[in-house]
Amino acid sequence: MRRRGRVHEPDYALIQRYLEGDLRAFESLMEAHEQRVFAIALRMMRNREEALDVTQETFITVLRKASSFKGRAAFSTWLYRVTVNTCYDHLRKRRRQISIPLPEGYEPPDRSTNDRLASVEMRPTIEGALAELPETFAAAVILSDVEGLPLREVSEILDIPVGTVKSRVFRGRRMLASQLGNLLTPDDCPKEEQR
Amino acid sequence: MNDNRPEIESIIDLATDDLAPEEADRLERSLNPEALAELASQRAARQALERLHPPPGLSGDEQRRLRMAVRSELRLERSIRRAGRRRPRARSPIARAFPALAAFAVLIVVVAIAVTSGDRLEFGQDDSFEAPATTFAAATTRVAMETETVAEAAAAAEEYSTTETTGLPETEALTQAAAEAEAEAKADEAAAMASAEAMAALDATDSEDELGTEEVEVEAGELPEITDTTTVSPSDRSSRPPILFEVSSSSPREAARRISAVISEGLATPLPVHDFVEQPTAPVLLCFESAASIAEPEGAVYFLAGGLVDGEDAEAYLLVDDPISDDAFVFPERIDSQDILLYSLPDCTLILLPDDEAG
Repeated sequence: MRRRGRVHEPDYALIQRYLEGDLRAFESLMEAHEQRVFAIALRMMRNREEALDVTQETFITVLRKASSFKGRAAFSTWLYRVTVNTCYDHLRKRRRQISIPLPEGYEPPDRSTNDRLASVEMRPTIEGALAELPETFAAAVILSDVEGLPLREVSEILDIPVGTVKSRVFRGRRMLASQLGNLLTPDDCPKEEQR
Repeated sequence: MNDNRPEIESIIDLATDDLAPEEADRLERSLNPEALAELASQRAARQALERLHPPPGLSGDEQRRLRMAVRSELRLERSIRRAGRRRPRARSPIARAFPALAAFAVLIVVVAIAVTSGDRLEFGQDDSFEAPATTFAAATTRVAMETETVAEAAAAAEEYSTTETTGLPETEALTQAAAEAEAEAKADEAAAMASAEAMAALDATDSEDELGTEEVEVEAGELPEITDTTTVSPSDRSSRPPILFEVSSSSPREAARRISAVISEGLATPLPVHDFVEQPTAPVLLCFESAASIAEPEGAVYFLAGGLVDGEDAEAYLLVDDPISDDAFVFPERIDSQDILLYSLPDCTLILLPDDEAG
Protein backbone atom coordinates (compact mmCIF):
# COMPACT_ATOMS: atom_id res chain seq x y z
CA MET A 1 0.00 0.00 0.00
CA ARG A 2 1.33 3.39 -0.89
CA ARG A 3 1.73 5.76 1.96
CA ARG A 4 0.15 9.09 1.42
CA GLY A 5 2.67 11.35 3.05
CA ARG A 6 2.32 15.09 3.26
CA VAL A 7 4.33 16.85 0.62
CA HIS A 8 5.86 20.08 1.83
CA GLU A 9 5.85 22.79 -0.76
CA PRO A 10 9.17 24.47 -1.28
CA ASP A 11 9.41 27.50 0.94
CA TYR A 12 9.91 29.82 -2.02
CA ALA A 13 6.58 28.82 -3.56
CA LEU A 14 4.90 29.21 -0.19
CA ILE A 15 6.38 32.69 0.20
CA GLN A 16 5.07 33.67 -3.22
CA ARG A 17 1.63 32.38 -2.38
CA TYR A 18 1.73 34.17 0.95
CA LEU A 19 2.61 37.42 -0.83
CA GLU A 20 -0.44 36.92 -3.02
CA GLY A 21 -2.54 36.84 0.11
CA ASP A 22 -2.99 33.09 0.50
CA LEU A 23 -3.30 32.54 4.23
CA ARG A 24 -2.96 28.79 3.84
CA ALA A 25 0.57 29.44 2.70
CA PHE A 26 1.11 31.44 5.87
CA GLU A 27 -0.15 28.50 7.92
CA SER A 28 2.13 26.11 6.04
CA LEU A 29 5.17 28.30 6.62
CA MET A 30 4.38 28.59 10.29
CA GLU A 31 3.76 24.88 10.61
CA ALA A 32 7.00 24.03 8.86
CA HIS A 33 9.26 26.29 10.90
CA GLU A 34 7.71 27.48 14.14
CA GLN A 35 8.83 24.58 16.31
CA ARG A 36 12.45 24.83 15.30
CA VAL A 37 12.53 28.61 15.56
CA PHE A 38 11.03 28.29 19.02
CA ALA A 39 13.54 25.58 19.98
CA ILE A 40 16.49 27.75 18.98
CA ALA A 41 15.00 30.74 20.77
CA LEU A 42 14.35 28.69 23.89
CA ARG A 43 17.92 27.37 23.97
CA MET A 44 19.25 30.87 23.53
CA MET A 45 16.90 32.66 25.91
CA ARG A 46 16.29 29.89 28.48
CA ASN A 47 12.93 31.46 29.22
CA ARG A 48 9.77 30.23 27.64
CA GLU A 49 7.91 33.53 27.52
CA GLU A 50 10.89 35.34 26.07
CA ALA A 51 11.36 32.54 23.54
CA LEU A 52 7.74 32.96 22.49
CA ASP A 53 8.30 36.69 22.09
CA VAL A 54 11.38 36.03 20.00
CA THR A 55 9.51 33.51 17.85
CA GLN A 56 6.68 35.95 17.27
CA GLU A 57 9.04 38.81 16.44
CA THR A 58 11.03 36.61 14.13
CA PHE A 59 8.06 35.58 12.03
CA ILE A 60 6.69 39.10 11.90
CA THR A 61 10.06 40.45 10.79
CA VAL A 62 10.61 37.78 8.18
CA LEU A 63 7.11 37.85 6.75
CA ARG A 64 7.08 41.63 6.61
CA LYS A 65 10.17 41.45 4.46
CA ALA A 66 9.09 38.35 2.59
CA SER A 67 8.90 40.26 -0.69
CA SER A 68 12.67 40.75 -0.55
CA PHE A 69 13.28 36.99 -0.33
CA LYS A 70 14.56 35.88 -3.72
CA GLY A 71 15.16 32.25 -2.94
CA ARG A 72 18.91 32.43 -3.48
CA ALA A 73 19.51 30.89 -0.06
CA ALA A 74 17.31 28.55 1.90
CA PHE A 75 14.42 30.29 3.58
CA SER A 76 15.29 28.46 6.79
CA THR A 77 18.77 29.98 6.76
CA TRP A 78 17.31 33.45 6.58
CA LEU A 79 14.70 32.59 9.19
CA TYR A 80 17.25 31.21 11.67
CA ARG A 81 19.50 34.22 11.12
CA VAL A 82 16.66 36.52 12.09
CA THR A 83 15.92 34.23 15.04
CA VAL A 84 19.48 34.44 16.33
CA ASN A 85 19.69 38.20 15.80
CA THR A 86 16.39 38.69 17.58
CA CYS A 87 17.74 36.61 20.46
CA TYR A 88 20.84 38.83 20.58
CA ASP A 89 18.59 41.89 20.80
CA HIS A 90 16.55 40.40 23.61
CA LEU A 91 19.65 39.29 25.48
CA ARG A 92 21.09 42.78 25.22
CA LYS A 93 17.85 44.24 26.57
CA ARG A 94 17.86 41.69 29.35
CA ARG A 95 21.42 42.57 30.30
CA ARG A 96 20.44 46.20 30.59
CA GLN A 97 17.56 45.31 32.89
CA ILE A 98 18.88 42.63 35.21
CA SER A 99 22.02 40.75 36.04
CA ILE A 100 21.79 37.07 35.28
CA PRO A 101 22.05 34.90 38.39
CA LEU A 102 23.99 31.64 38.41
CA PRO A 103 21.98 28.87 36.81
CA GLU A 104 19.70 27.04 39.16
CA GLY A 105 21.16 23.78 40.43
CA TYR A 106 24.70 24.77 39.60
CA GLU A 107 27.13 22.30 41.10
CA PRO A 108 30.88 22.31 41.39
CA PRO A 109 32.80 20.00 39.05
CA ASP A 110 32.44 16.34 39.89
CA ARG A 111 35.57 14.33 39.21
CA SER A 112 34.42 11.32 41.20
CA THR A 113 33.17 9.39 38.23
CA ASN A 114 35.36 7.50 35.84
CA ASP A 115 32.89 7.78 32.98
CA ARG A 116 33.55 11.18 31.52
CA LEU A 117 30.67 11.05 29.10
CA ALA A 118 28.21 10.01 31.78
CA SER A 119 29.55 12.59 34.15
CA VAL A 120 28.77 15.25 31.60
CA GLU A 121 25.53 13.74 30.47
CA MET A 122 24.05 13.11 33.88
CA ARG A 123 24.54 16.62 35.09
CA PRO A 124 21.55 18.88 34.84
CA THR A 125 24.01 21.76 34.66
CA ILE A 126 24.73 21.34 30.97
CA GLU A 127 21.85 23.71 30.26
CA GLY A 128 23.16 26.13 32.83
CA ALA A 129 26.66 25.90 31.44
CA LEU A 130 25.31 26.59 27.98
CA ALA A 131 23.60 29.69 29.31
CA GLU A 132 26.91 30.92 30.69
CA LEU A 133 28.55 30.95 27.29
CA PRO A 134 29.02 34.28 25.55
CA GLU A 135 26.05 34.61 23.21
CA THR A 136 28.07 34.39 20.01
CA PHE A 137 29.65 31.11 21.14
CA ALA A 138 26.31 29.85 22.41
CA ALA A 139 24.67 30.53 19.05
CA ALA A 140 27.36 28.59 17.18
CA VAL A 141 27.24 25.67 19.61
CA ILE A 142 23.43 25.51 19.70
CA LEU A 143 23.07 25.58 15.92
CA SER A 144 25.88 23.10 15.35
CA ASP A 145 25.71 20.66 18.24
CA VAL A 146 22.18 20.95 19.55
CA GLU A 147 20.29 21.55 16.33
CA GLY A 148 22.73 19.46 14.32
CA LEU A 149 23.10 21.89 11.44
CA PRO A 150 26.16 21.56 9.17
CA LEU A 151 28.95 24.04 9.87
CA ARG A 152 28.50 25.61 6.45
CA GLU A 153 24.85 26.33 7.14
CA VAL A 154 25.75 27.70 10.56
CA SER A 155 28.22 30.05 8.87
CA GLU A 156 25.46 31.28 6.53
CA ILE A 157 23.01 31.75 9.37
CA LEU A 158 25.50 33.66 11.50
CA ASP A 159 26.94 35.41 8.46
CA ILE A 160 30.52 34.59 9.39
CA PRO A 161 33.20 32.45 7.68
CA VAL A 162 33.22 28.71 8.32
CA GLY A 163 36.60 29.05 10.01
CA THR A 164 35.12 31.48 12.50
CA VAL A 165 32.26 29.07 13.16
CA LYS A 166 34.76 26.31 13.87
CA SER A 167 36.66 28.55 16.21
CA ARG A 168 33.51 29.56 18.09
CA VAL A 169 32.27 26.00 18.33
CA PHE A 170 35.69 24.86 19.52
CA ARG A 171 35.95 27.53 22.18
CA GLY A 172 32.31 27.13 23.18
CA ARG A 173 32.69 23.40 23.74
CA ARG A 174 35.88 24.03 25.62
CA MET A 175 34.16 26.45 27.96
CA LEU A 176 31.36 23.97 28.48
CA ALA A 177 33.80 21.20 29.30
CA SER A 178 35.64 23.53 31.64
CA GLN A 179 32.47 24.59 33.44
CA LEU A 180 31.35 21.02 33.77
CA GLY A 181 34.71 19.96 35.16
CA ASN A 182 35.45 17.80 32.18
CA LEU A 183 38.18 19.77 30.53
CA LEU A 184 40.76 17.08 30.20
CA THR A 185 44.50 17.25 30.38
CA PRO A 186 46.89 14.77 28.78
CA ASP A 187 47.15 13.06 32.18
CA ASP A 188 43.40 12.43 32.17
CA CYS A 189 43.44 10.69 28.86
CA PRO A 190 43.51 6.91 28.84
CA LYS A 191 46.68 5.57 27.36
CA GLU A 192 44.92 3.99 24.40
CA GLU A 193 43.83 7.45 23.31
CA GLN A 194 47.40 8.73 23.42
CA ARG A 195 48.63 6.68 20.55
CA MET B 1 46.22 23.74 24.64
CA ASN B 2 47.62 26.54 22.51
CA ASP B 3 45.32 28.03 19.91
CA ASN B 4 47.17 26.34 17.12
CA ARG B 5 44.97 26.87 14.07
CA PRO B 6 45.68 23.68 12.10
CA GLU B 7 45.27 21.57 15.24
CA ILE B 8 42.03 23.31 16.13
CA GLU B 9 40.71 22.66 12.62
CA SER B 10 41.68 19.00 12.91
CA ILE B 11 40.10 18.65 16.34
CA ILE B 12 36.88 20.34 15.21
CA ASP B 13 36.65 18.15 12.13
CA LEU B 14 37.28 15.04 14.18
CA ALA B 15 34.89 16.00 16.97
CA THR B 16 32.18 16.91 14.47
CA ASP B 17 32.59 13.62 12.56
CA ASP B 18 33.01 15.53 9.34
CA LEU B 19 35.74 13.29 7.95
CA ALA B 20 35.88 9.94 6.21
CA PRO B 21 36.87 7.14 8.64
CA GLU B 22 40.31 6.57 7.07
CA GLU B 23 41.16 10.24 7.08
CA ALA B 24 39.84 10.64 10.64
CA ASP B 25 41.99 7.74 11.77
CA ARG B 26 45.07 9.14 10.07
CA LEU B 27 44.49 12.61 11.47
CA GLU B 28 43.85 11.37 14.99
CA ARG B 29 47.10 9.39 14.98
CA SER B 30 48.96 12.54 14.08
CA LEU B 31 47.73 14.46 17.13
CA ASN B 32 49.96 15.00 20.14
CA PRO B 33 48.72 14.05 23.64
CA GLU B 34 47.62 17.57 24.42
CA ALA B 35 45.53 17.72 21.24
CA LEU B 36 44.10 14.28 21.97
CA ALA B 37 43.01 15.43 25.41
CA GLU B 38 41.37 18.45 23.81
CA LEU B 39 39.67 16.20 21.29
CA ALA B 40 38.29 14.03 24.10
CA SER B 41 36.93 17.13 25.87
CA GLN B 42 35.36 18.39 22.69
CA ARG B 43 33.73 15.07 21.96
CA ALA B 44 32.40 14.78 25.49
CA ALA B 45 30.91 18.26 25.34
CA ARG B 46 29.40 17.67 21.92
CA GLN B 47 27.88 14.34 22.82
CA ALA B 48 26.43 15.82 25.99
CA LEU B 49 24.87 18.60 23.97
CA GLU B 50 23.49 16.19 21.40
CA ARG B 51 21.90 14.16 24.12
CA LEU B 52 20.19 17.11 25.72
CA HIS B 53 16.53 16.41 25.97
CA PRO B 54 14.74 18.51 23.42
CA PRO B 55 12.90 21.32 25.14
CA PRO B 56 9.14 21.02 25.21
CA GLY B 57 7.88 22.39 21.91
CA LEU B 58 5.09 24.87 21.40
CA SER B 59 1.83 23.67 22.88
CA GLY B 60 -1.35 23.82 20.85
CA ASP B 61 -2.45 26.90 22.73
CA GLU B 62 0.92 28.59 22.28
CA GLN B 63 0.82 27.79 18.57
CA ARG B 64 -2.65 29.27 18.28
CA ARG B 65 -1.68 32.43 20.16
CA LEU B 66 1.52 32.79 18.18
CA ARG B 67 -0.15 32.45 14.81
CA MET B 68 -2.98 34.74 15.80
CA ALA B 69 -0.58 37.43 16.97
CA VAL B 70 1.60 37.16 13.87
CA ARG B 71 -1.36 37.08 11.55
CA SER B 72 -2.95 40.00 13.29
CA GLU B 73 0.19 42.10 12.80
CA LEU B 74 0.63 41.10 9.19
CA ARG B 75 -3.00 41.48 8.22
CA LEU B 76 -2.93 44.94 9.63
CA GLU B 77 -0.16 45.90 7.27
CA ARG B 78 -1.83 44.34 4.29
CA SER B 79 -5.17 45.93 5.05
CA ILE B 80 -3.43 49.31 5.22
CA ARG B 81 -1.84 48.70 1.84
CA ARG B 82 -5.16 47.63 0.41
CA ALA B 83 -6.99 50.62 1.83
CA GLY B 84 -5.41 52.89 -0.76
CA ARG B 85 -6.50 50.66 -3.59
CA ARG B 86 -10.19 50.39 -2.63
CA ARG B 87 -10.40 47.04 -4.30
CA PRO B 88 -13.42 44.92 -3.39
CA ARG B 89 -12.54 41.28 -3.02
CA ALA B 90 -15.78 39.90 -4.25
CA ARG B 91 -17.40 40.67 -7.57
CA SER B 92 -19.60 43.65 -6.83
CA PRO B 93 -23.35 43.40 -7.29
CA ILE B 94 -23.20 46.40 -9.65
CA ALA B 95 -20.76 44.64 -11.92
CA ARG B 96 -22.82 41.48 -11.84
CA ALA B 97 -26.00 43.37 -12.62
CA PHE B 98 -24.46 45.55 -15.32
CA PRO B 99 -26.16 44.03 -18.38
CA ALA B 100 -29.58 44.38 -16.77
CA LEU B 101 -28.80 47.94 -15.66
CA ALA B 102 -27.67 48.96 -19.14
CA ALA B 103 -30.84 47.55 -20.67
CA PHE B 104 -32.88 49.31 -18.00
CA ALA B 105 -31.12 52.61 -18.73
CA VAL B 106 -31.83 52.30 -22.44
CA LEU B 107 -35.46 51.61 -21.63
CA ILE B 108 -35.67 54.74 -19.46
CA VAL B 109 -34.25 56.88 -22.25
CA VAL B 110 -36.63 55.40 -24.80
CA VAL B 111 -39.62 55.97 -22.53
CA ALA B 112 -38.48 59.51 -21.71
CA ILE B 113 -38.11 60.35 -25.39
CA ALA B 114 -41.44 58.80 -26.19
CA VAL B 115 -43.16 60.80 -23.47
CA THR B 116 -41.47 64.01 -24.59
CA SER B 117 -42.43 63.37 -28.17
CA GLY B 118 -45.97 62.61 -27.15
CA ASP B 119 -46.19 65.84 -25.16
CA ARG B 120 -44.94 67.90 -28.03
CA LEU B 121 -47.32 66.23 -30.40
CA GLU B 122 -50.15 66.96 -28.06
CA PHE B 123 -49.23 70.63 -28.11
CA GLY B 124 -49.54 70.52 -31.88
CA GLN B 125 -45.92 71.38 -32.62
CA ASP B 126 -45.67 69.16 -35.66
CA ASP B 127 -42.79 71.16 -37.10
CA SER B 128 -40.55 70.29 -34.14
CA PHE B 129 -41.16 66.57 -34.37
CA GLU B 130 -37.74 65.90 -35.82
CA ALA B 131 -35.94 67.43 -32.86
CA PRO B 132 -36.96 64.79 -30.33
CA ALA B 133 -36.18 62.14 -32.87
CA THR B 134 -32.73 63.60 -33.23
CA THR B 135 -32.42 63.76 -29.47
CA PHE B 136 -33.57 60.19 -29.25
CA ALA B 137 -30.99 59.18 -31.84
CA ALA B 138 -28.30 61.11 -30.00
CA ALA B 139 -29.32 59.59 -26.69
CA THR B 140 -29.36 56.15 -28.22
CA THR B 141 -25.93 56.80 -29.69
CA ARG B 142 -24.72 57.98 -26.27
CA VAL B 143 -26.10 54.88 -24.66
CA ALA B 144 -24.45 52.77 -27.30
CA MET B 145 -21.17 54.63 -26.83
CA GLU B 146 -21.31 54.30 -23.07
CA THR B 147 -22.15 50.66 -23.42
CA GLU B 148 -19.21 50.31 -25.77
CA THR B 149 -17.00 52.10 -23.24
CA VAL B 150 -18.06 49.62 -20.62
CA ALA B 151 -17.49 46.78 -23.01
CA GLU B 152 -14.03 48.16 -23.79
CA ALA B 153 -13.29 48.54 -20.11
CA ALA B 154 -14.43 45.01 -19.47
CA ALA B 155 -12.36 43.79 -22.42
CA ALA B 156 -9.35 45.71 -21.14
CA ALA B 157 -9.83 44.24 -17.73
CA GLU B 158 -10.18 40.81 -19.25
CA GLU B 159 -7.00 41.40 -21.22
CA TYR B 160 -5.29 42.56 -18.06
CA SER B 161 -6.40 39.38 -16.40
CA THR B 162 -5.01 37.31 -19.27
CA THR B 163 -1.73 39.23 -19.31
CA GLU B 164 -1.40 38.78 -15.60
CA THR B 165 -1.85 35.06 -15.67
CA THR B 166 -0.02 33.90 -18.74
CA GLY B 167 3.64 33.44 -19.44
CA LEU B 168 4.55 33.06 -15.83
CA PRO B 169 7.65 31.09 -14.93
CA GLU B 170 6.98 27.61 -13.70
CA THR B 171 7.92 28.49 -10.17
CA GLU B 172 5.19 31.09 -10.12
CA ALA B 173 2.50 28.80 -11.38
CA LEU B 174 1.24 28.34 -7.86
CA THR B 175 0.47 32.04 -7.61
CA GLN B 176 -1.69 31.99 -10.70
CA ALA B 177 -4.95 31.45 -8.91
CA ALA B 178 -4.32 34.36 -6.60
CA ALA B 179 -3.31 36.57 -9.55
CA GLU B 180 -6.46 35.59 -11.36
CA ALA B 181 -8.53 36.54 -8.37
CA GLU B 182 -6.86 39.93 -8.22
CA ALA B 183 -7.30 40.48 -11.95
CA GLU B 184 -10.94 39.55 -11.65
CA ALA B 185 -11.34 42.04 -8.86
CA LYS B 186 -9.69 44.69 -11.05
CA ALA B 187 -12.01 43.76 -13.88
CA ASP B 188 -14.92 44.15 -11.50
CA GLU B 189 -13.63 47.52 -10.46
CA ALA B 190 -13.17 48.68 -14.06
CA ALA B 191 -16.60 47.43 -15.01
CA ALA B 192 -18.15 49.01 -11.96
CA MET B 193 -16.48 52.35 -12.66
CA ALA B 194 -17.53 52.27 -16.29
CA SER B 195 -20.99 51.35 -15.18
CA ALA B 196 -21.10 54.34 -12.85
CA GLU B 197 -19.91 56.62 -15.66
CA ALA B 198 -22.53 55.23 -18.01
CA MET B 199 -25.24 55.78 -15.49
CA ALA B 200 -24.13 59.36 -14.87
CA ALA B 201 -24.12 60.06 -18.59
CA LEU B 202 -27.73 59.06 -18.83
CA ASP B 203 -28.83 61.98 -16.62
CA ALA B 204 -29.23 60.83 -13.09
CA THR B 205 -32.60 59.79 -11.83
CA ASP B 206 -33.57 58.89 -8.30
CA SER B 207 -33.04 55.26 -9.00
CA GLU B 208 -29.58 55.99 -10.37
CA ASP B 209 -28.69 57.89 -7.19
CA GLU B 210 -29.66 54.88 -5.21
CA LEU B 211 -27.53 52.61 -7.33
CA GLY B 212 -24.57 54.98 -7.12
CA THR B 213 -24.79 55.07 -3.36
CA GLU B 214 -24.92 51.33 -3.22
CA GLU B 215 -21.82 51.08 -5.35
CA VAL B 216 -19.91 53.51 -3.17
CA GLU B 217 -20.81 51.40 -0.21
CA VAL B 218 -19.58 48.27 -1.90
CA GLU B 219 -16.29 49.87 -2.89
CA ALA B 220 -15.73 51.50 0.46
CA GLY B 221 -16.38 48.25 2.27
CA GLU B 222 -12.77 47.11 2.49
CA LEU B 223 -13.88 43.88 3.99
CA PRO B 224 -11.76 41.36 5.78
CA GLU B 225 -11.11 38.09 4.01
CA ILE B 226 -14.13 36.04 4.70
CA THR B 227 -16.18 33.15 3.48
CA ASP B 228 -19.44 33.73 1.70
CA THR B 229 -22.19 33.71 4.27
CA THR B 230 -25.05 34.77 2.09
CA THR B 231 -26.30 31.27 1.50
CA VAL B 232 -26.61 30.40 5.16
CA SER B 233 -30.01 30.71 6.65
CA PRO B 234 -30.02 32.78 9.84
CA SER B 235 -32.61 30.46 11.21
CA ASP B 236 -30.20 27.54 11.09
CA ARG B 237 -29.38 27.45 14.77
CA SER B 238 -26.58 24.91 14.34
CA SER B 239 -24.59 27.38 12.22
CA ARG B 240 -25.01 30.26 14.68
CA PRO B 241 -22.59 31.21 17.44
CA PRO B 242 -23.61 29.99 20.89
CA ILE B 243 -25.91 32.25 22.88
CA LEU B 244 -23.85 33.98 25.55
CA PHE B 245 -26.07 36.92 26.42
CA GLU B 246 -29.73 37.88 26.34
CA VAL B 247 -30.70 41.53 26.30
CA SER B 248 -33.49 43.90 25.36
CA SER B 249 -33.28 46.40 22.53
CA SER B 250 -34.88 49.00 24.80
CA SER B 251 -31.76 49.21 26.97
CA PRO B 252 -28.71 49.27 24.71
CA ARG B 253 -26.36 50.45 27.45
CA GLU B 254 -27.32 47.50 29.60
CA ALA B 255 -26.76 45.28 26.57
CA ALA B 256 -23.23 46.65 26.15
CA ARG B 257 -22.53 46.10 29.83
CA ARG B 258 -23.67 42.49 29.63
CA ILE B 259 -21.62 41.78 26.52
CA SER B 260 -18.54 43.26 28.18
CA ALA B 261 -19.22 41.06 31.18
CA VAL B 262 -19.36 37.95 28.99
CA ILE B 263 -15.88 38.77 27.69
CA SER B 264 -14.48 39.76 31.08
CA GLU B 265 -15.71 36.53 32.60
CA GLY B 266 -13.81 34.60 29.96
CA LEU B 267 -16.91 33.06 28.41
CA ALA B 268 -15.82 34.26 24.99
CA THR B 269 -12.62 35.61 23.49
CA PRO B 270 -12.68 38.49 21.04
CA LEU B 271 -11.32 37.27 17.75
CA PRO B 272 -10.53 39.18 14.59
CA VAL B 273 -13.32 38.27 12.20
CA HIS B 274 -10.91 36.82 9.69
CA ASP B 275 -9.41 34.53 12.34
CA PHE B 276 -12.82 33.50 13.50
CA VAL B 277 -14.20 32.50 10.14
CA GLU B 278 -11.06 30.67 9.14
CA GLN B 279 -11.50 28.22 11.95
CA PRO B 280 -12.90 25.07 10.37
CA THR B 281 -15.59 24.63 12.99
CA ALA B 282 -16.43 28.29 13.51
CA PRO B 283 -20.08 29.22 13.28
CA VAL B 284 -21.15 31.51 10.48
CA LEU B 285 -21.27 35.26 11.06
CA LEU B 286 -23.94 37.18 9.21
CA CYS B 287 -23.47 40.84 10.16
CA PHE B 288 -19.73 41.22 9.80
CA GLU B 289 -20.10 43.16 6.55
CA SER B 290 -22.21 45.79 8.25
CA ALA B 291 -19.68 46.01 11.06
CA ALA B 292 -16.80 46.24 8.60
CA SER B 293 -18.50 49.04 6.71
CA ILE B 294 -18.50 51.14 9.87
CA ALA B 295 -14.87 50.40 10.72
CA GLU B 296 -12.11 52.82 9.88
CA PRO B 297 -9.99 51.78 6.86
CA GLU B 298 -7.07 51.06 9.18
CA GLY B 299 -9.29 49.58 11.84
CA ALA B 300 -10.13 46.01 12.70
CA VAL B 301 -13.38 44.21 13.44
CA TYR B 302 -13.51 41.63 16.19
CA PHE B 303 -16.31 39.19 16.80
CA LEU B 304 -17.28 39.29 20.45
CA ALA B 305 -20.15 36.90 21.07
CA GLY B 306 -23.48 35.60 19.91
CA GLY B 307 -26.65 36.16 21.91
CA LEU B 308 -30.31 37.13 21.87
CA VAL B 309 -31.90 40.56 21.51
CA ASP B 310 -35.61 40.54 22.31
CA GLY B 311 -35.51 36.80 21.78
CA GLU B 312 -33.95 37.02 18.32
CA ASP B 313 -30.47 35.86 17.40
CA ALA B 314 -27.87 38.59 17.65
CA GLU B 315 -24.19 39.16 17.03
CA ALA B 316 -21.89 41.51 18.91
CA TYR B 317 -18.75 42.98 17.37
CA LEU B 318 -15.93 45.18 18.55
CA LEU B 319 -14.50 47.99 16.45
CA VAL B 320 -10.87 48.90 17.01
CA ASP B 321 -9.71 52.02 15.23
CA ASP B 322 -6.01 51.72 15.91
CA PRO B 323 -5.03 48.07 16.16
CA ILE B 324 -1.33 48.95 15.77
CA SER B 325 -1.12 49.61 19.46
CA ASP B 326 -3.40 46.76 20.36
CA ASP B 327 -2.46 43.59 22.05
CA ALA B 328 -5.00 40.90 21.29
CA PHE B 329 -4.50 39.41 24.72
CA VAL B 330 -5.53 42.44 26.76
CA PHE B 331 -8.85 43.01 25.09
CA PRO B 332 -11.01 42.14 28.07
CA GLU B 333 -9.68 45.26 29.80
CA ARG B 334 -10.16 47.39 26.70
CA ILE B 335 -13.71 46.65 25.72
CA ASP B 336 -15.82 49.72 26.09
CA SER B 337 -19.48 50.18 25.30
CA GLN B 338 -18.55 52.81 22.75
CA ASP B 339 -16.68 50.22 20.69
CA ILE B 340 -19.41 47.58 20.63
CA LEU B 341 -21.75 46.99 17.73
CA LEU B 342 -24.79 44.85 18.39
CA TYR B 343 -26.89 43.48 15.56
CA SER B 344 -30.09 41.49 15.72
CA LEU B 345 -30.88 38.90 13.06
CA PRO B 346 -32.11 38.08 10.54
CA ASP B 347 -31.78 41.59 9.06
CA CYS B 348 -28.69 42.73 10.95
CA THR B 349 -30.63 45.54 12.58
CA LEU B 350 -28.18 47.70 14.49
CA ILE B 351 -29.24 47.86 18.12
CA LEU B 352 -26.17 49.50 19.57
CA LEU B 353 -23.93 51.97 17.80
CA PRO B 354 -20.57 53.28 18.89
CA ASP B 355 -21.07 56.58 20.71
CA ASP B 356 -19.46 58.73 18.07
CA GLU B 357 -21.50 57.11 15.30
CA ALA B 358 -24.70 57.53 17.22
CA GLY B 359 -23.96 61.19 17.91
